[in-house]
Amino acid sequence: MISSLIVSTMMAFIIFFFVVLMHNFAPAAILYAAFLIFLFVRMTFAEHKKTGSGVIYRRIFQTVFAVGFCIAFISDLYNERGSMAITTQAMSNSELPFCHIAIPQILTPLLVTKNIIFPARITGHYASVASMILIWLVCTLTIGRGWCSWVCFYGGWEEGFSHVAKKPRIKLLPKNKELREFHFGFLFFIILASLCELACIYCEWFCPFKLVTEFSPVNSIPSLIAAVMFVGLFLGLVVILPILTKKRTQCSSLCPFGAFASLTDRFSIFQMKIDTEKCAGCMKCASVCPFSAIDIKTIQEKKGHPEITCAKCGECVSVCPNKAISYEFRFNKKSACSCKSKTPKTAAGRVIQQILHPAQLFRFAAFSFAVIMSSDFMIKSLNLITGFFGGSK
Amino acid sequence: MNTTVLKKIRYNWKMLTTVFTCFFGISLFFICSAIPQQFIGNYLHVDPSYTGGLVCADFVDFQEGSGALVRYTVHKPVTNARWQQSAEYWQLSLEFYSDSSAIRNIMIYIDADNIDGGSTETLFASAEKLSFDEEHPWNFALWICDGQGMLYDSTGDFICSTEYYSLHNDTKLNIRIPLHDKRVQKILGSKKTWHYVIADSNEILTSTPLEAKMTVYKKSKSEKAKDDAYINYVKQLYAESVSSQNQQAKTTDETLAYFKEKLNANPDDYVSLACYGSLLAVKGGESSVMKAVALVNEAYTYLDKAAELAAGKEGEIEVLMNRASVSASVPEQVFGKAESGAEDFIKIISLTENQTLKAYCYVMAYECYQKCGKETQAILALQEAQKMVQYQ
Repeated sequence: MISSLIVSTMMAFIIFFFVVLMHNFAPAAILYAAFLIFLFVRMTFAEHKKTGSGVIYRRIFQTVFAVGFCIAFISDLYNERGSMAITTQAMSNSELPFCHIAIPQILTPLLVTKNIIFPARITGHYASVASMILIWLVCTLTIGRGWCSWVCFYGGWEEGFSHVAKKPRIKLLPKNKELREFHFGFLFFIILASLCELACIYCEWFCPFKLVTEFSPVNSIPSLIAAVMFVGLFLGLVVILPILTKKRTQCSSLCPFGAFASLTDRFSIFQMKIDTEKCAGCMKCASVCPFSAIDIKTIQEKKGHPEITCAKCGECVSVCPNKAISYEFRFNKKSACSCKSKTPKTAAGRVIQQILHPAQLFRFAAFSFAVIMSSDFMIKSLNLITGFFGGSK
Repeated sequence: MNTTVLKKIRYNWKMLTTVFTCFFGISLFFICSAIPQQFIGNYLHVDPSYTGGLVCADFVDFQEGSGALVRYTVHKPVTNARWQQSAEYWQLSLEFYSDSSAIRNIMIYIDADNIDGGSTETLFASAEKLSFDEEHPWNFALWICDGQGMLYDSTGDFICSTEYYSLHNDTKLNIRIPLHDKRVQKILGSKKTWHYVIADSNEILTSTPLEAKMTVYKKSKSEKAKDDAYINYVKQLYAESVSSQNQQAKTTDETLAYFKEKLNANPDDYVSLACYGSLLAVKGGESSVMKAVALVNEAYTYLDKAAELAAGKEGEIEVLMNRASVSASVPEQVFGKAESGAEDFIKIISLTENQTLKAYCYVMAYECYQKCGKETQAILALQEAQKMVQYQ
């Protein structure tokens, strides 16, 4: 209880600084800060009561953020260039917004040509290359692929749609391995194609989120094909399949950043652990995992951890009846040190131990990222929404 | 030391760094991200095929007045460009002091060293009063008019239309000449080109053609070091001239209290308002991050009010200098004040006759423009500073 209070207070400080103070006490900022504090406090106290039960607040945050981001981003595009369409003007002046999904596509060509193969600003903008690369680096070292389930401003769409239906109509569990193989194969193809063409192939042909951000104007046969791909992939992988399978299908089969983040996740501080002694093999975790990171084999072979594509969303923690799945520090190997398993004798010691629990620290880190990344967009979109309804009266 | 103790130390160290990173590290990273961003930004470059090609020649000259050309850039021809209208093109960029929409006609005559022949007559007989250098008769004429560019050869035959991009509120024009036509493709083999640029039938650059080597131009390290040395020299010069005026040193809090008292007596004393505002910002610099943001935001309410009250009155320079100095020193990532700071410095220049102060303001404007990515304005400001005070 006290630990939850302490952690919530610390988060309230972060929210106050990045949301309220940085936006000069704007009403929208205060409103959004209140929403964030509510989510974090509810999440922390719910987790304190029952492990894994705070996961719903993550879902709410990510879905709201995805919608808010799109509103703010589209309004930015209209302000800058008068439409959502990519203009030759913006292209010729290297002013396209750069997003994290382009990172795996630009890295190999960067090593070969020493140039960024994307017409974006290098610095001086929230969607600049240097800014996104730095965020990715820090994210990799801290929450790893947790970005996808906590911070990604596109993932929220699938997060929302995957919770529309009560039960999955299509069960993907037996195909998890194939899905993962396809995901990494597709990443390899995208990297290779980007290197050969010296252009971001995924952004040019496959990104489903073109539909809710910016798109190339349809003025030729190739651009028409690309538009059909964008619409088809958005409807198929972001809307229909998540509803039918209750999985984040785009994130776990197509997104190159997702696959890339899975590969670099080993550098992060946190990982998920499955206690094979406690695990009863009920497979509830495997069926709820939105990233197809737990297979029948994972459990049967007692691997002790989910597969490489785990995004640390905590869905499995919430459904496990035996509390066999938990967050763990990556450096906490079994034989590392006996000091960690000591039970504190005093109340203060117990509070400190609860605060320093891997799950608590991970949630704090991931939510800090989420707060900071979302504040500008959400405040802008709140202002737009209130302005829209205020103006229509 | 036995291995258990070592393991324990290692574990505790890892735990400590993890706790620090999770609770404070992420927030600190975002607060200070401007510095690493700038650092990384120095090493990253967008592929030239997206940006118009590498720069071959850059002519920067400061001329005031609407429609004055301040920068003319010749790029290296680009081949195999992605996501562009033409995969092969040659870009020429023109930057103006202010809105270029007042100019109806721009004519650029180009001579390439690997193309024989050419003409010394203007494309439209009655249009210009330009005499061409006999050694450099033009091979191509680029006529920019009504939001489009047209390319002609020396016989007056139309070759092709060019891509035309008007940027930054019409202050910059990027013209991309597609290299589809065989006559224009010869540019790819040129070692040198000469350019005559004329606007609205008047010379806006000298009649001597601008000579552009068609190899990549990069500012050398010694040139950069020379610029840095000059900037430091001007700053030092200004500091010396100001330090002689300073009388006694007080703590920030004492000075704040002093100005607060003055403001209580006269809330419209704009010089005190400005001093109070800038001192608040100084105090912000000495405080914790959380307090600093609040203090700087508060400082701007005083500084803006002071600037508003001081407009056109005695003491305006001091007021603007206070606001500009604060804008130049606060983190751009958080407050985004560099451009308004540069504008304040430029305004001070128009209000003073002091050469050292003018040079200092130009140097500071240079730094502010660089911070907010306005490269042309930055170069121009530095050039002007160098005209004011010579480096000794």
